[in-house]
This record gives sequence, C-alpha cells and structure tokens, in this order.
Amino acid sequence: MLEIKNYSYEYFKNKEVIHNIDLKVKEGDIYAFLGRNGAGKSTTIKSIVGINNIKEGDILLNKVSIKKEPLKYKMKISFVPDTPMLYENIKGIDYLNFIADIYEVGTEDREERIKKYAIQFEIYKALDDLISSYSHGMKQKLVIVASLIHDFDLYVLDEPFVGLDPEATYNLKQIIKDLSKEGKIIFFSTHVLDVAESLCNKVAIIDNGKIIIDDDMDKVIKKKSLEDFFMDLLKDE
Amino acid sequence: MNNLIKILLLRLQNESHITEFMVSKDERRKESKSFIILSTIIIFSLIYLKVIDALNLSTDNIFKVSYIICFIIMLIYSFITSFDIIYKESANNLLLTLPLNKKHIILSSLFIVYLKNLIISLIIMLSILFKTNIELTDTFLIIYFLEIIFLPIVPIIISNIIIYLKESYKINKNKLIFLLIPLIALISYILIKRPTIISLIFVRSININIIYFIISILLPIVLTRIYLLTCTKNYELIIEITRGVKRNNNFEYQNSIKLPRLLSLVKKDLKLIKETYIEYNVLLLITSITYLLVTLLTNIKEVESNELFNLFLPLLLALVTSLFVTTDKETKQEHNNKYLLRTLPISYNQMILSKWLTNIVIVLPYIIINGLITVFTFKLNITLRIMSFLLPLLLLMLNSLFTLIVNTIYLNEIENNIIIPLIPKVLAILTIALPFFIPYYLDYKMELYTYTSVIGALVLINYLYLIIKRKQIEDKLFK
Repeated sequence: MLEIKNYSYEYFKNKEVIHNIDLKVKEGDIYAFLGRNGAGKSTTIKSIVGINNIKEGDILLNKVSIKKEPLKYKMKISFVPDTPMLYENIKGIDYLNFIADIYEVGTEDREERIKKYAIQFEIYKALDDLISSYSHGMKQKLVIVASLIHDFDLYVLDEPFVGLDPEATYNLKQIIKDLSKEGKIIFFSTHVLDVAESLCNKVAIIDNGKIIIDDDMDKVIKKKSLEDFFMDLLKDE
Repeated sequence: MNNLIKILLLRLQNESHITEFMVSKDERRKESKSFIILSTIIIFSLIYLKVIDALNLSTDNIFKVSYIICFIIMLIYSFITSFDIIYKESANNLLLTLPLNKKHIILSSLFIVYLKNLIISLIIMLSILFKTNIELTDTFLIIYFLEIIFLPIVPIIISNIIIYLKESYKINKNKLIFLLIPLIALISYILIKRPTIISLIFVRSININIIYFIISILLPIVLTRIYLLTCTKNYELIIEITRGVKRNNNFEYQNSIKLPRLLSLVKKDLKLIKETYIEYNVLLLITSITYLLVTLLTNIKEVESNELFNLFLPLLLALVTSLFVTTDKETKQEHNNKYLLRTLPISYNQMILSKWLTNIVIVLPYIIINGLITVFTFKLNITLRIMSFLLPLLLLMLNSLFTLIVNTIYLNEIENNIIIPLIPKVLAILTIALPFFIPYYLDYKMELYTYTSVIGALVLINYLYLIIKRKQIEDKLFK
C-alpha cells in the first residue's frame, strides 16, 4: 500500500504549495491523480518518486518510509515522467542495461523483459542507436520499457501517453491493466480525463495543494462523466 | 580566384572572428579550449627547458628529443582538433551545398589544423635554440625554419588517417581496417627515427643535407596527396553519422553481465563520456609511447642521475597523466538529467565515488605503464620507484576531486560563464608546474616527500568537503 501521511511541501519559506495531504492507495488500484496546471500534481509526484526532499509528513510504500529508508523505498518504485529523463549520449540498450543493473535485475530476466517490451513498443531495432537520435515518442517508449524492466510494487506514471502513437498507447493501457491484476499499484496522472475514466478505478483531484476528492471512480461518474464532474467541481472551488 | 584559395580565405576569416569579443557561447568555449591547450603547451615548453637543463643533454640529443616530442604533441593535438574541424564544423554543411570540390573543402579544414599545429612547432623548436650553443648561420636558419614549417604536416595527415579509419569502421564494421593501424604506427616510427635535417647538419656535408631536405619537403606533400585520394570517400557519410542520422537496423540483443551499482554507474559514465574516454585513451597511449620512444631512441637513459633529475622525473610523470580529468564532463552530463538519478535507488556516496572512479579507471593503466617504463629504464632507488607511481596517482585524484567540487558548486553558473570551468584546469596546471619553478633548497627526497604529503592532505580535505557539504552539493546538482 502507498500511504501519503500529512504531507506538505514548500518551495520557498512560508510559500506552501501542498497542504497536509493524506492519501492511501491499495494494491491493484489504478489511481487517477487529477488537477489543473499548478494545482500541486507534479510536486506531489516528485515527492513520491524521491526528486523532492520531504520536510513535513512522510510517504510510505508497504511500510517502507522514503524519509528513513530511501534506497529500499526506491527499489520498489518505477517512474515514467511527462518528459523523458534520459542520458542522450548513450545507446538505448546501454540505458536499459544500466537501469537493470541499478535494480539488480538478473541477466535472463532482463533479456526476456527487454526483448518482450522493446519489440512490443517497436523500438527493439533502434536500441543500438544513440538516444539523442530518437524522436520524442521513441524516448517515451524507451522510458516505458525501462520502467517495466523489474517487478516493482508501485508504478508512478506522469502523463505517460504524451507522444505515443495509437498502437503504443493501446499496449500501455493493456500493460497497466495487467499490472493491476497482478496486484501492483498504479499512480497515474493525466489531463486526458477520458483515459482516466476508462482506465482507473480510483480518483483523486488536487486543487491549490489540497485534495478535494478522493473516491472510487464508479461513485464519481455515477451521474455524469468525469470531465463534467471535474469542470463542475473546479467551478465550485 | 581558385576555389581552394576562396575557401581558405573564408576559413581564415571564420577563425579570426572567434578572437573577437562579440561571439557566440560555443565559439567562446572553443576559444577557451584552444587557450587552455596553448597555455598548457607553453607551460610544458618552459618545464621542458628546465628538464633539458637537468639532463645536461648534448646539442644533437636536444634536437632529437625535441623533434620526437614535437612530432608526438602535434599528432595528439591534431587528433583532438581535426575531427571537430573536418567533420563537425557547421560551416562544412554549407560548403557541401555549394559547387565546390569535396577535396578542397577537406584541404581547407586541414589547413586550419595545420595553422594551430604550426604554433606548437614554432614554440617548441624555437625555444630549444636558447639551450644550444649552435652557431646561427643563414643556411642553418633557412633550413631550420623550413623544417619547422613542414614538420606539422606529417603528424596531421597520420592522425587524420587514423580518424578516418576509426569513423569508417562505424560504417563498414570491417575489423580488417584496423590492420592498417600497425602499418601507420610503423611509418610513424620510421619517420620519428629518421635523422632530422638539423641533426644531420652536425655530421654530414651540405650536399647530403640537400637530399634529405628535399625528402623532408616532398614526403608531407606526397602523404597529403595520398590522404586526399584515399581518405575522402566516406566524408559525407561520416558527417551524417556524426549528426546521428543513420540507423543501425541489425540490432540483436546480447547478454549483458549483471554489475553491482557502483560499477554500473562507472560503466554508464564511461559510455556517457565515450568521446572523451576514447580521446583520452588515445592521448595517454601516445604519451606513453612518446615516453618509451624518447627513452629507447636517445641516450637519455645513460644520463647521469643528479638531484634535479631525481626531483623532476616523478613530477614529469605526474604532469603527463594528471591533467586528464573527466569529472567536469561527468557532472555536466548528470546535471542535464538532474532528476533521473534522484528517482533511482543510488546513494550520494555511490554517485560521487563513481564519478571519481571513472576518472581513475581511465588514467590508472597509463600511470602504471609510465611507471613501469621508468622503473625498467632508469636505475632508480626505492623512493623514486614508489614516487613514480604514487605522485601521478595522487595528483590525478586531487585534480579530479577539485574539478568535481568546482563544477558541482558552480553548476548553474557554468552554462553562462566561461571563466569558472577554466579555474580547476588552470589550478591543476599551476599545481603541477609550480614545483619545477620553485628554487631548489632541500634535497630531492625531502622535496618529493613534502610535495606528496601536501597533495595527499589536499586530496583528503577535498574528499571531506564533499562529505560534509553533501546537502548543498546534492541540492546544487539536482535543482
């Protein structure tokens, strides 16, 4: 289980952008994390994956605290950012092997996963090329393959479909569903509400650094679509 | 006007533009790189003159050793600069679209490399004139200047043939191509070993000198012609691959060994700075070969050991290896992907240690090779033997750490400031050059012990600083 406890964050002194968030995401959940630009989504995600240092509150994954045991915690999470973070001057295959080494993935396991996902996302033949020669979509696919190279407990996906072609988008959705069936936690941020509605079983909406909705997707979209619900909610706010 | 002359004039205008104040950041970087290399050569020359004093070489030997060193330095320098000038220069893209002969474009690029090498030839070959007691007659001066003018061409062509073979391998993947490298090495060896015109002046009549003189002039011209005829075939393809356009569609997965995190970080850094890594390996290898050649082809090993020689020998070894610092390039690469490492299960110590280790992994083999050449060539006592390995290693560690600290602390300023990246480089050169110019008071052992202890203490202080300032450094690196 992913637990965000009393989490607050400020970039400058007395300029709090996240106010005392509490969230719980269970195994098997595909959790849509929604909000306007500047609402605090990226800040929260950066804290979950370890980019931002947490000063107030804590984040725990299966009882392991990111503050107390950051390395043990990070071994369990996989992150797909909205813009690919990659070393441009190395080959795709070198990047995948580097990530596999860092997560201590065995040689046979990594070979199987690299072949499976690189072929599925149609970047296998490009793995011997420098990442700098990849298009944005290819870079995003490489990040996705790297995020699937190990058996993680939590998958944090920040706008993962940006730049993907329709086939890759479909494949990723299927993979997300499969991971959910295996009991993995998917923490998913997007601005495409249709995708969130069809894919996720839980939803949280953040605005001005506060969680204003945290509920089952079925309950939220009982009377109207997620898009209408979202727009009405933000009008009220 | 001939097209070749037109391109040459254009290139010269372009190069002179770099020295003006209002130029782009990239050009200023290029200028600062040239500045560092040239200042290093000047400092090296001054140190070299000091070493000549310490060795008490004969005039004939001074010319021989200088010729070898000059040849090798130009080989190294043209190897570093040629690829950028011939294949990466953006002006080449424009020139290729114009109705110009491809060979003229390449020749004009080579001319720029030549001009830069000519400065090295002038600095070294003219400076040694002050250390000889030779009579400067008109005939001697004419021959000497012509030798200086023609000297850079051969190493430029040799280094460019190697660059061409290396780049062509990326296209053909034909390993047979590398069989040519021993051949080139053999030709280089013969060229280095051939008596220079200067040294012949002392022993032969002027008629024989004229024959050698004609060979000296003809040889570079013939070599240049051969280069232009054979090594221009893949010119456009190499430019295309340099831009990363061409794809290799025959990829097949090959098993990779599972590495521990620290080694994986080192491997990643080695790949990230691959160009620098290959460049440094070639340079260090050439440096070691130069050292071996100087000791084999001259009577330097028979020089009677004296206090000054004992002091200079380990310092000289430290000098040739410890300038090969990579931590600045590694830090810059990390900063470009500042969030990535943060999300991975890697500790701060592993990250810092990997940057340092990468640098040591690149240079350590050459410290060992140079140390072994020293131990087997000279009759040294145990102190000097240990110092021949220890001092280069410690100095490398210090330069590498100091560069890491400066580049991390001023990471955000480096993008817009060309002075800051120069600081560690200038300090590194000064740290190494200083002992050569300090008046000699103590005995060589005491002076070496003192210098080694100071360097060792500085390494420790730098490392402790990195540990103590962990928080600030992490913030600088990842914000």
